[in-house]
Amino acid sequence: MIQAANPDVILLTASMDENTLKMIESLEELGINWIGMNVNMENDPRGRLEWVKYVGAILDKEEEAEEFFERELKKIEEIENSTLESDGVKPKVSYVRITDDGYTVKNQGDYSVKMLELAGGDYIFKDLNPGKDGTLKISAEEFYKAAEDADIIIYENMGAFVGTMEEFLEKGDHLSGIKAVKEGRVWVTKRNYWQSADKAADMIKELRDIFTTPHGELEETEHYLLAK
Amino acid sequence: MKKSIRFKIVFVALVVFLAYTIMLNLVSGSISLSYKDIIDVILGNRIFTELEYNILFKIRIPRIISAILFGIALSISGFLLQTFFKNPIVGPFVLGISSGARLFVGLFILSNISIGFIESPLITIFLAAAVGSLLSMLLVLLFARKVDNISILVVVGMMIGYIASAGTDFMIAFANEHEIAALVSWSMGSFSGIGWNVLRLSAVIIIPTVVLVFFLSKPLEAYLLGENYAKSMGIDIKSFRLVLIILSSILSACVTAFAGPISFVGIAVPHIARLSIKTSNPKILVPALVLLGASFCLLADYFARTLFSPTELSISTVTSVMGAPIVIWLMVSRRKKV
Amino acid sequence: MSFLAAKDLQVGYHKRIVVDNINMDLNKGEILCLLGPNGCGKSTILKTITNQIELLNGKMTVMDKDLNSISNGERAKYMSIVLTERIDPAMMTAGEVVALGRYPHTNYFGKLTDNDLRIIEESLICVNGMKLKNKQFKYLSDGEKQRILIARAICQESDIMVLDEPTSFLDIKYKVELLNIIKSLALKKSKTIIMSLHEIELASKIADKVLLIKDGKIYDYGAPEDIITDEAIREVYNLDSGYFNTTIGNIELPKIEEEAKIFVIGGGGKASRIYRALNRRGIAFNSGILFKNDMDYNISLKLSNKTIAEDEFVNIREEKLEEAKELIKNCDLVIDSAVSLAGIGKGNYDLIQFAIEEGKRVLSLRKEDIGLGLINYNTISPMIHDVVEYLRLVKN
Repeated sequence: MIQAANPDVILLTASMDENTLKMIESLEELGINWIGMNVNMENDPRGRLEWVKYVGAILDKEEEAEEFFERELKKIEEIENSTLESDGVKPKVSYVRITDDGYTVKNQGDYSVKMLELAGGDYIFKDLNPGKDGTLKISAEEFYKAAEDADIIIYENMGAFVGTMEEFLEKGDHLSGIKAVKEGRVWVTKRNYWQSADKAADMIKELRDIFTTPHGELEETEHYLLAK
Repeated sequence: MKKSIRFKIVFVALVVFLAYTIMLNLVSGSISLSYKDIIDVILGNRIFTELEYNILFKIRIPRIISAILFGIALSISGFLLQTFFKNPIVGPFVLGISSGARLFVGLFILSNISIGFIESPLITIFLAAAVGSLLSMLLVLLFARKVDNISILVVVGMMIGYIASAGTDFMIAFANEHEIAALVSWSMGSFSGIGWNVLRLSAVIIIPTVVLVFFLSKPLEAYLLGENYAKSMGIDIKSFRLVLIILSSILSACVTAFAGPISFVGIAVPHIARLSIKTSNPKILVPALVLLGASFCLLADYFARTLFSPTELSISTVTSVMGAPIVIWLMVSRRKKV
Repeated sequence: MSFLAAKDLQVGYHKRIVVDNINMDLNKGEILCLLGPNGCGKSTILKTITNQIELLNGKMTVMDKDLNSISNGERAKYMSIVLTERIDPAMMTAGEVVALGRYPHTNYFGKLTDNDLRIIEESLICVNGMKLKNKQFKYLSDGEKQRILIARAICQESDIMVLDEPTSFLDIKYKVELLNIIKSLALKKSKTIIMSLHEIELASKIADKVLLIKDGKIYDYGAPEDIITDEAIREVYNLDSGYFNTTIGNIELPKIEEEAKIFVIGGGGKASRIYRALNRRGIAFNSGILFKNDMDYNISLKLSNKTIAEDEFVNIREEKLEEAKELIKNCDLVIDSAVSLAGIGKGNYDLIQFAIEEGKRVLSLRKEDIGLGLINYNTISPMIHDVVEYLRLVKN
């Protein structure tokens, strides 16, 4: 399939795992050029955005890339400043993903946590694996206990789509007891969430809106949806 | 008589152990409740906070009940298989029956078939698992006919396990994203997130089945002498075999459907039970299996939940670590005798 | 009146007939033995009687009730079995194994009443197994396991017991014990017993009826004294080298077909061992004079080149003596078995004397000295040893 498309070059998330190494081997056999691009290792959304310059260099669109990056960076700066200026209490926020084998939350070092923090949120699991990216599976209890005083829960959709409060509650009887559920401040990610690496700045802005808009006034943004 | 005293002691020990593991799971976890706290609540000196209440009643207790129910189901299922194959080194996992069940549930999840007249999706999942179990069992039996050696059967079981995994992987390759996530997470095996409706259904399936097994004690004991003798004493061998297989498959299918594949409980627990009570009499062994199976899984779940808190180990990991050494020791000691 | 009967039975596997035309008729308390070489179909017949494999054709009845028409459960009340297969029940005591014999009689849950317990004990006593009751079955010896399985079958209190080669794993003490048990079951408890046996001589001692089976056909059926003959055994078991001596109940290896240079005088029950020792060394011999009711006579006929025999209870006649003297003349050595020389045995004394006069060496097992210049030995071995030595010298 890749051969048919005959690309000039492939941008590959290079890692040491077996599948990737095999893929690299096949690519080299087929004589297709590849370049490693490890966006996923970035802890900071800005770092992730900066990779656009890398791509720009490859595609010979360095100027545009530079422009884009600066623009996005500025957006984030603005948000950051407004956050620092405001003296309101930071809302406590958590991500979560619930599957048959447990509750998955982000490690403190993950870039999405940084996004949350830039947007002015306080991640409730900030003691969890600081500096490390990625996710961690925890028990239902642990999540529940920590989420007890979370103001906002952001549910990351990855399996069957959870869009309403009812669907969220189906994940567990006990969830009706947490504060965010009672106050109706459970948000879910929409289907476009995972493809929007370049929209990081916009997403941070959306998060900011979610955090600061009084409850009841905002029900949907480009990437997030309020579970009702 | 020496024997009946031994039984009494062992049973008391088993009951105490079960009570201990239940209490252990009640008090441990993200919030610790001490035994005193619980007693205070019972006595009315204290009430639970909402947090405590929710964690206890909505998370821990369902989990405890599922560990008990599924531990019992797996132990009895293993026991039936061991009786049938006259060998202690078989269990639903080892013979690939859990994997077959898993494959079928996977197929069901992916193809989204719903059987019209059965309302509940839970029942359909269970039925899918049951069908998968029975079909894998059939495969194993086909081989069992041609080959007398039990080791070969274990190999067959492993192969079925691999084929089932391959099948599931195959499906994953063609599934869409959210289906994949559902399949992958489910196949790890966990007592997490099992809701009351699942527990109710499981209880309805498991409890009568186990009671039925207890009432089959008479032929089960006769069967220990081998099929020829059993037949000469009046047992209808063909029907009995069928009953053994069906009951065993129902039990392991129930667990696989709702908690995912959980390994080694089916092999290890019957053996521990037999060794500690030193009898093969089903009237005594079955109740012992109930107590021990529940305790074993409760203990495993305790470790799964608390060893690396806040993260959770998959229950199969823990049961493997607990159960595999027992199985290995089993095989070694059998060798010695032969 | 017939109790257990089989008419025109055909047994086999998957429509392939292994044995055909089986007919038998037993009264209560009779014992039937199946005899025949390995692979003749004994097992197939037994497996069919016990319903392990399906009957191809014919009818088996118990008191005129067709055995195939009744349920497994009912059948269990009529018939109990003891198989050759080794069973290996884990964690079961011998007592528990025996107790399972009560299976067809206990309630749904298998509860053992006082009566049941009494029967279990009695069954154990029958096989001398009370000491084994609380031991783990797995750790018993083969003989002990066999007895326990028999106890289990007794415990089932069925009128018919079928045993497949019950003596096979047993050494002689237990073989004897077992046969006693079976005999007593038939006599005292009127159990009808069908068993297959390897040991032909045992069959004649215990069976009321015998089925001789050869190559899938019933060679003969009847009382052992009528049908177990040397000839029949020879045929059924294809003995082309050696014989089965049905009188003694023992096998004999064939006689040495060479010119005999040794003469053994007498019998009186003392010569058989000498015959066998010589035969074993490959030494041909003649023997006489034996009375036809002498125990050695039968064996001599099988092992000795020529046997000079006299009728029972008469004095040894002249012509017999002459025959013997002729043979002695041609011999190198004479052996005196220490047979009685008194009364009708006087002829043998003459033979010894004759041998000495002929200058033949006479080796003797006699304890007393009869003053004829015999070379005396205390036991047979050194005597045979010298015989061998002597013959070798003579050859060279």
